[in-house]
Amino acid sequence: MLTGFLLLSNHFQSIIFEHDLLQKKAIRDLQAGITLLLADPNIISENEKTSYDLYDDGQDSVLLERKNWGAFCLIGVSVTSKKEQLHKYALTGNDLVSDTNLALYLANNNKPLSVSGKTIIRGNCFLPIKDVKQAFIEGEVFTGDKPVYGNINISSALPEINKNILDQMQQLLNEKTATDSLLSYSEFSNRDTIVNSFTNGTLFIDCSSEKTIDNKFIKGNVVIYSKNNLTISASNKIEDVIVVAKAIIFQKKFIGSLQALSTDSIMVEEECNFTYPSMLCISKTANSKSLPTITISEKTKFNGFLLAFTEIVQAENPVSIIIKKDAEIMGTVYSNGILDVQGSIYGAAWVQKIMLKTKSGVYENHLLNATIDRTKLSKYFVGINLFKTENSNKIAKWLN
Amino acid sequence: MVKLKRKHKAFSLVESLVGMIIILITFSVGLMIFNEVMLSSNNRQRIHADMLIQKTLAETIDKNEFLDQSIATETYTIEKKVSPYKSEKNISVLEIKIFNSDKRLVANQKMLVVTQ
Repeated sequence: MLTGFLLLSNHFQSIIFEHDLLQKKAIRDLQAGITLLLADPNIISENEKTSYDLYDDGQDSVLLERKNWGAFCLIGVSVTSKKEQLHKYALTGNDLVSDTNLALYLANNNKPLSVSGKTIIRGNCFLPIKDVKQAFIEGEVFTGDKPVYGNINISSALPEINKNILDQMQQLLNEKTATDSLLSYSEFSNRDTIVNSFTNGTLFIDCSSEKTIDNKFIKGNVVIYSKNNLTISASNKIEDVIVVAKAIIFQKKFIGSLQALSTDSIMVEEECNFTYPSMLCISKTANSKSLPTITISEKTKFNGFLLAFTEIVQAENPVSIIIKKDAEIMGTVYSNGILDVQGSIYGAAWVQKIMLKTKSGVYENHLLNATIDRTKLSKYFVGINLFKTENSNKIAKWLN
Repeated sequence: MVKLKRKHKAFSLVESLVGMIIILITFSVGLMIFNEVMLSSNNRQRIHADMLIQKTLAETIDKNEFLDQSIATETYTIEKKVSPYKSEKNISVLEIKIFNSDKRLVANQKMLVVTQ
């Protein structure tokens, strides 16, 4: 009996050992799939799940997937090991370090940049004119040692944004991607928690009939869509989700990580905290006469990307990004319209024009008490493919 | 002194000792068989080989040594082979094979590594 017990124990130990080996092999294959997709995403077509034999021996097959998720590229690998299925999903982007340590790119409109108050610019700059002027605005003179701590080069036209990002944004704004499962607002309002894994199809929630989203926990592969204005209150917890609406308001003290797209305006109220990787994007079509604006209010912390673009750059009705006093942006800002910054950008900004609006007037290419500091951005920060057409080869965030 | 009224059935000292010795012998034999089974199985070797592969892999990546190599240890021979992966320029296949003293393959692992 005792011998039998010992032999049985040995047998079970062998089974556990074999299972462990298989699981380790599956994890290795997952990692190999991710390595492959990071090195060459084009080995598979977009928006398709493709079975791929890793070593052409029929023993290591993985299911590879690639699609756009907002401004990011989403890659996914699935491995089936016996009855178990393992998945790995990630948002990918590009390294920002290679971008010549750029802090500010101001398109050449033949007007110099002027600074006043406690303005600090750290990092390399591309400006219309090499000399940065010191101005006296609102009773404040420039108090720093020098206006720019970095190299200054002459700028030309604003670099055009990566067309893939534009297409993806337009597709989301036009609701053309709503081909997966759709959740009506009545179903949505009955549920407190909506979590949809990236292993499933995208869940679209149509909130056109409602103005405010309250007390919800929404996470994962979800697109919230509204044809009208949408208010997201601080009682929500939203993670990895895409929100598309005509106009979006994030109420005071909202905390979350999401990508929001709008054709009209995005208003972020005071003391909000957007964790990495978040993105706010406004897009204006050629026919539109609206004044799309992203407003980041006081004491808000935003980690990610602010994008404002218009199809045709024009002096009248430009798109704009307003960063108010004590607001902090950790990441990148791109506007082919206006940037009004009175807070801090820890990262880089590409702008067509800087506009300072005060109680007494409007000043072009002026900065007052603003901070643009590239040195405070982590060297491990992964950005979106703003201008590049090369592959996304860095992991921005692992997803479930 | 209280005198027992009934006669109680029990083992004698010799019987108990013999029983204990039999249990001891059975247990010892069982343990020997278990030990024999454990040693004869490949699991032990494979666990060692797997650990050796992980160590070699970590060292290869850490030192950026993507070269074909053969390393002999006291009990195993590690064979490391790096070959190009399909048409990918930046990726290579790193294959690590572990052979025991009888030159029998104990463990084999393939993985993709970035070698740009």
